Amino acid sequence: MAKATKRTSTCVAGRGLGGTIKRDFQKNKVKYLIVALPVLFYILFYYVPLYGALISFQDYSPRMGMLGSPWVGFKHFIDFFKSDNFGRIIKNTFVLSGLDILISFPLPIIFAILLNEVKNTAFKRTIQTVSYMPHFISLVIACSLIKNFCAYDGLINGFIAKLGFEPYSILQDPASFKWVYVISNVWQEMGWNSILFIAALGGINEELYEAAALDGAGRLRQTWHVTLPGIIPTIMIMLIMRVGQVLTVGQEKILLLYNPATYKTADVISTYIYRKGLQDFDWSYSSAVGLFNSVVNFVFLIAANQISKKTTETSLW
Amino acid sequence: MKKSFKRVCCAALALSMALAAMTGCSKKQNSAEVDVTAAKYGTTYPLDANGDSLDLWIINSVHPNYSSYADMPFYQEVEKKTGVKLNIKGPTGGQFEESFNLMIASGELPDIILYDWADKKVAGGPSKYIKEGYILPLNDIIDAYAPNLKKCLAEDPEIDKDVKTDDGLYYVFPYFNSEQPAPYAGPVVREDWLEYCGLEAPETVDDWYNMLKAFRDKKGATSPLIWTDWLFEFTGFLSGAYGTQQAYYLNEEGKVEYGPATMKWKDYLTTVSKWYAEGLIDKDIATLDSATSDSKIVGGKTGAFIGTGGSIGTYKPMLAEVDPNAKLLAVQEPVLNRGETPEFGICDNRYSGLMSSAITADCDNVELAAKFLDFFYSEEGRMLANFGIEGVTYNMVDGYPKLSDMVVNSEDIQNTMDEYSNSEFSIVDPRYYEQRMIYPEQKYAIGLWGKTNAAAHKLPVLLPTQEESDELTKYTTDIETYVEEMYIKFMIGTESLDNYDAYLAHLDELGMQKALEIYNTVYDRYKNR
Repeated sequence: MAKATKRTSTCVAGRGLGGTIKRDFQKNKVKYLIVALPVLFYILFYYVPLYGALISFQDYSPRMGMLGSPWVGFKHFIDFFKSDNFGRIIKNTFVLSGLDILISFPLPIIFAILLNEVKNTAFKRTIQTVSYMPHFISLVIACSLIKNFCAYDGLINGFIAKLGFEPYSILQDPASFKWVYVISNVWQEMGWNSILFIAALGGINEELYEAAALDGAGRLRQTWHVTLPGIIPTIMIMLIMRVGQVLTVGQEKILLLYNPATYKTADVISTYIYRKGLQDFDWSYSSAVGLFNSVVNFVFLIAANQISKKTTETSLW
Repeated sequence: MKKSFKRVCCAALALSMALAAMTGCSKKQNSAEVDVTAAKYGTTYPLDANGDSLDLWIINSVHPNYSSYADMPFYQEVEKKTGVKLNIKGPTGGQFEESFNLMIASGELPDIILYDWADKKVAGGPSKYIKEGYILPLNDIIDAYAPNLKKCLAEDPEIDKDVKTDDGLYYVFPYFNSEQPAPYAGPVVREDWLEYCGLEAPETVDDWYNMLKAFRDKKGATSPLIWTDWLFEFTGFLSGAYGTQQAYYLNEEGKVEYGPATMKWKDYLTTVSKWYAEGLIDKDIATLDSATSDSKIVGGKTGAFIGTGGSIGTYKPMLAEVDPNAKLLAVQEPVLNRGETPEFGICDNRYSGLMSSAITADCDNVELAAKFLDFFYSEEGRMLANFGIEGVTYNMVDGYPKLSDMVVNSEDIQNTMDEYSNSEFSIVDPRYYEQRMIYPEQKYAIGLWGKTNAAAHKLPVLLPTQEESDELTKYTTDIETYVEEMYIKFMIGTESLDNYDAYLAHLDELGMQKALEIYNTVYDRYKNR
């Protein structure tokens, strides 16, 4: 649509912006209609509620409303930065999220590439279906499975004991928490996340492989020089989006899996917001923390996008 | 850690907050001036309501056997007896906290809200809600329209002191017990295991230690002792032997004290960490949910647990299926020296500040709302709220309301009674609870668990002012998180008890002393009511 506007605006440059829009609207009536609904949706459900973030600068009370509640400036932000757990939850958030990006992000890509090499269609389809099955297990059930496996007398400790090590209550051990979190993430989401990459792989021109084979490239070389460059744009877009969510970790999963013994490594920004906002009803405070969360995510998103633009010429905008 | 998992719909919350912000300011700010002179509904029940109706929000979910409140026999009977048409709303799936907050945030208030008004989850307390114009102060309203409640309060000065704010404002039609409620939880052991090991019912901490060791070695119990958090916190199991509890309570000098901030707590931790290290306590204690602990108890991996009178009734038939010889025995809270009376144990206030009905500032028919609520303090209303419908759920036998066979023979007495009654509108009648316990073990348990000095330590319902409440939340959330965390770490041994002094020092950094100061101020104010 942007292109359409540009074209019309050049040929009717003399008549001003209003005229331009009018002409363009008449010309592309149907397109405007089609786009109107999504735009409305975004305005209503994404932009209008944004002003609610203002309550983080207030001592908000629903009864007094936003106009009646007293303004307190940056009080809640300062309270948060000075709070006892600030350093810890920021660190935990970055560690969990960073590990997740480092491990759960590349695995679906490798999985997709390996699957792409399989020539037996029936086998390939079966593996693919089975691999994204865990994604459909309700999180509550998935977490009780994890709890069961990690119990003192559970499956994993069974192996540990067989190997001659001392069994321990895995979910009570702060050092183990990040691995439980990341490995279970891989189990749950690897298959599902690989779908997009498998689709991207299907789009690579077969002739490129034939040409590479003629030049004497083996399987590995073909993967390196044809497959990977073919899906790099998809990978980069997904990575930028993931980095933009760096402070957003699986809050519900952590809430289900953590306990006081693992707060040290498992308490993250979103669980902190949950405890403050919905258990203490400190709405303004948790909005402040939430706003801080969004701002940091936003900064990371921009940074990742810029870096990607410079290095791989792929970017969101 | 009774923080059960609650699904949070942040988007909905944000949106409703935004909506509330738009509508909030248009509401009347303070409706304290209520015209109490006009009376048009008469004074006898059913009221002459002429089809006028009331909107209620109640904390109880719809009974699973019914699709709506209106279908439940209790509310049908209430409508008939009071003559008032009811539109009832409530939480779905037991998520009453979220549901309540969304309602408050939406700005659309019903006429009556039955909620835990004096609980700490209502931040700022009833005074704040009166000041900000959510609910009405009830003094004039009770004088004018609620003769039954007025009479009950006049006859019971102890309750009368507890159910108002420090400024003397009534804020709810209170739900309270007509006498000191029976304790409902305490330690339970496998009696057949005791016999097998040749042991008596344990009395002292040493008895407990020997018993758990015997269970571990002779019965092969993998988790000899097990508990779920909230019961444990409430009963003060074991910590009571050292004169403390994981709570705010009154110490020997009549001052408010927080157990985990005392040296007594260290004595308790020393014992409990020893038990944990020797495998006498379930290894996964911090991650246990009730389903897992149930399966361990029924599966014979556990010989002692903190249970309720109700859970004895639940486990008894389940255990009988697995092991016909299994027997459960309630025992007293452990003490240090033989012959001592336990200092702590479960103990409820007669008025807990929970589940009471407030009339909202948006109610445009205060007279009807007050008269409707006052019905439940009349003789007829109290019987209906406690025992349900005469001839269906109970029969009067020599002046005693005896539960009918239909109720007593049902699979779950409480569940059946929930269809026909709801004492939360009224005053709890102990004659119901004594009939609910059907097994002799349960009756024995309730009697035994009550023999403690817990009442001397129990704080009444305290109402901090808004400023105090704001400050308290600032300290206590961090304090409680830290205490929970360190408690588990000390117990499972990931933190050495040598660091206990550093732990206490950090508690003070988190504002422990300031929090205690506030608690003591609020308690002093209560005493001077």
